[in-house]
Amino acid sequence: MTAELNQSRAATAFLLAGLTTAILPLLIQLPLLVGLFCAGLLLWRFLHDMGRVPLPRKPVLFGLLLLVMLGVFQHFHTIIGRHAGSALLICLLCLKLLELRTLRDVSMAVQLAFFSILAGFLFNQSIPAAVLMFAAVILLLGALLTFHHARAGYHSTAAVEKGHIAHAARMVLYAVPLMLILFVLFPRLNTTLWSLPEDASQGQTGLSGTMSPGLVSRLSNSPEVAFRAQFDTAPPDKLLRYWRGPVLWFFDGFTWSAPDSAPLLITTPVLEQKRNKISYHITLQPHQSTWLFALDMPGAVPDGALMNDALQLLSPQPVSKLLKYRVDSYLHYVLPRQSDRPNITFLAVPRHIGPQTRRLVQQLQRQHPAPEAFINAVLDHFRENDYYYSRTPPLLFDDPIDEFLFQSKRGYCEHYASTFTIMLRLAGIPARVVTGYQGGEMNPLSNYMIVRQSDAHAWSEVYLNDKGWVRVDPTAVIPVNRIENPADAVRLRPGLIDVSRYVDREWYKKTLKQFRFAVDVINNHWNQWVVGYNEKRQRSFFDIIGILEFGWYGIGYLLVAALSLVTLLIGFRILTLQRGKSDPVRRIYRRFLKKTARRKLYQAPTEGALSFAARVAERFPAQRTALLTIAETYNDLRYGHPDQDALAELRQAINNLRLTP
Amino acid sequence: MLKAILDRHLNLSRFFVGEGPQLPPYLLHRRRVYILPTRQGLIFAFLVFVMLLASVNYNNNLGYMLTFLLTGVMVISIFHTYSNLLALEIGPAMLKPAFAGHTTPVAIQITNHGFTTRCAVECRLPKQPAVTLDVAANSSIFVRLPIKFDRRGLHPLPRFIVATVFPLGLFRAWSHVQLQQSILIYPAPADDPCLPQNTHGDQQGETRTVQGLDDFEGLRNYQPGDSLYRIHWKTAAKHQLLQTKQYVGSAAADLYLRWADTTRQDVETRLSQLTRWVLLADAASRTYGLEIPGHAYPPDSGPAHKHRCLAALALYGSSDDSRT
Repeated sequence: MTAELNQSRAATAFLLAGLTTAILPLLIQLPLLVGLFCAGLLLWRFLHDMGRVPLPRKPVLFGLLLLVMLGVFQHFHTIIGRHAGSALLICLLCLKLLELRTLRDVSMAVQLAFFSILAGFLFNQSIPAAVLMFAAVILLLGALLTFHHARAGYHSTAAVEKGHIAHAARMVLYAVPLMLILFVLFPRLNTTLWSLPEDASQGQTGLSGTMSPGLVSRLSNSPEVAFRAQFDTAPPDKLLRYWRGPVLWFFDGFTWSAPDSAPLLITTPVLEQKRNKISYHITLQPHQSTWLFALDMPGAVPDGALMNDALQLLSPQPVSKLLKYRVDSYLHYVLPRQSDRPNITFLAVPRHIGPQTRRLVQQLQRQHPAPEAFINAVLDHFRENDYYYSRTPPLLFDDPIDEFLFQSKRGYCEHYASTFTIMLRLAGIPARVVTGYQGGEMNPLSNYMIVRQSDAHAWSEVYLNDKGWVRVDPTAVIPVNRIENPADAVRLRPGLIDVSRYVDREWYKKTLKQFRFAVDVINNHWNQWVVGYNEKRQRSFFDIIGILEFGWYGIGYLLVAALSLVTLLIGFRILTLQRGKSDPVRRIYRRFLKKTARRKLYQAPTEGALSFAARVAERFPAQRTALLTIAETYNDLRYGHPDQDALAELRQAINNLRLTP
Repeated sequence: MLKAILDRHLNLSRFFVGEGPQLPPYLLHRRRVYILPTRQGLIFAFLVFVMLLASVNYNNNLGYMLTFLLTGVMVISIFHTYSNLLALEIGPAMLKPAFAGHTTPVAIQITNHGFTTRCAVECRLPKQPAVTLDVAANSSIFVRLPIKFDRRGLHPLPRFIVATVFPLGLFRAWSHVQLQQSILIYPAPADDPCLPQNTHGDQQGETRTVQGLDDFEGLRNYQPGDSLYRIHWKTAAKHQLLQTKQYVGSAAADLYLRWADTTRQDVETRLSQLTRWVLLADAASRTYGLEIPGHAYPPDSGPAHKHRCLAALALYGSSDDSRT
């Protein structure tokens, strides 16, 4: 293995291609500088193979290594953890490329590349990532194979090299059944072996857990999936698709947040007068926070989840991988009233903000002293004055409430929810902001609903003395003609407006939409069965095949048995394929060659059977006839039109041959 | 019965040194090919194990997938490496006589009756560098292994190793091969630059016309053993028949290489000196005879004669001597 490397251009090309494929998903996640550095090193290697530049000497390599260490530490302030570790890994891998002297170096580079594929999966487990993995494994194995073949000093040709990639692909293909068996049967654990590094969870898009209307001038329009819901019952009406998420109650003048974690509930409140039960599963994309979503309002806490004082569902750990849970929600309900009114936190308004708003509230309150009447008056205020729904409202600098209410009058859900909540609080009505998603699109190709990041929404909850907390969505009162973007109109006012006006009429748009749905079906299945295959799913699978009752021993036996069987089948296939069909003529003739070898007579590779037999007959004239019969029968079997029993004849002649002088 | 079978299959010496001398061709069947992981293979296995730990810890299903795929590839590569040697036929070896102390290549025939090329098959004689080569499908090649013997005589071909780590270098399949063939080693020629001056002709007191080197006499039909330099190629092209040019020379040209004329006393040194003389005489295209205790070869020339003389010197005093 330590043999000096026979440089083969094809092998290095495969290696470069494989490495690039392996680190690509990782590079996207890391700072641009890492990407540029790696690209530079790859380019260096490539130019070297083209015969343009020499490879760096040891001191230069050492310097680059030091640079990598320092750079990574400088940027991440650590060299362990998901990001820093990955950055270090791929930089070292690319550095290794500049120092391929022995087969061991190549082997090490390939193994580092496998590791970086694994590191990439910590960020992204999508179908494209899996496809890239297979491509990278084939290319890297192909490179390893070509380097090993290059030891024979063969004459490199395109056909030979294509054959090597095909060979690697075949090996991977044969390995797939073993992979599947192990994947399905290898016991999944529900716990981690050691604590995850701190930054194992960060950097995902989605709701932020805070809300700053006026500070962000652009609403997320990301079509990225937030979660998917599969309904056992009929899906809820479009107007009632409020997916409850983080509840915010503290406002500092600009930002809504939930600063102290709300106390967790030990017993969940029992909803009263509940109607319209909806049962469904939610498959939540990882968002690295603890909140879970459910239709307003879940009747019970799902297994393994928690609920806090604000009736918000929470996961015990940050959701860092695909999470599936089952919820029953009631679209109509009344919350049990609390014995005392909610405390002062739901009435707090920063002293300095909204002087104009305060006057408006006082005026409205004089006209409508009852809480319900006051709420309607505020909603009417939004409905009857020129308030617009806009995705790109102007920024608000000093007093977001006053500026929105009296000057800009343009905003999205956050502005309305925030202003509405403040106005109610000024009127002495407890109120809070609820963020989450509103809407969702049924995938017509499969029975589930897709909720995207662009469906993010915010609304209010108001505490009424006789009803408890009640949902009020102030955005909903803005008339359709004041919604600036038609797509938002469709989203926010389903059924109220003539949807056909906005439906894509061009066939290609329709097809594209259809195609997107199809892709989402595939993604959903991938998530359900591959990425989301966990201990629970595995147990239900074991249950189906009836192995569960035998316990872990049974599963162990099954694993070993299945692996052995498949390995034997594949091994048999490879061995017979390589050997070719067993050739009976050759087998019998070999016995003849053994007999002559015993007399120190060997058939030369260029010598025909007849001339060899003649040569043997010179030494053993007594057997001349037998020898010639053997040679002629052999030739007949090989090249002529042999009789039915020519093979038996040959066998007999060879068995009877006695080479004695 | 059972014991015999067990002995046959579980004999440890087969694992370390092979089956002992076997008649060529030596077929590498299942029981003759061994396979074990290489150092790289063990490192690779360790890496896969670390990847498994990482996948378990992060509960990462695509990580599991990669880990298990590589596990599968590792298992598959056992079969690929094993089958890269399986059913190859080793031998016979083409053994040309060589001089003691000189490195000479031994050409061993390797035949592949299979449908796929056997890549990077490595052959190695003990204490010699390995030779790596491909054996194409349905063909046969010669691998030339350098070999060196320090003593003259008829030596059995030493055991050599046929091995491969192809395709991934994770496993090494090998077989110990010992062909039941012998190689003839001539004595090492001494550093003696000149031939002895004596000839036999003087003693007979007459001058005979014998086949010699000086004057062209005519043509006769080729006989095996005639020097290639003397074939009359012009008539060969014309008559489809090989003819040898005949020369006449005086008997005075006959050279006798005699045991008694050697200047040293030691047997081996004498043989070395005689070997050098044979070579010198042959190089000078002289007609020479050889006389050693037990053997006398009348004067002649040509490669066959040279081989006869050198073989006699090589086997002098050994049990194989009577064979020639």
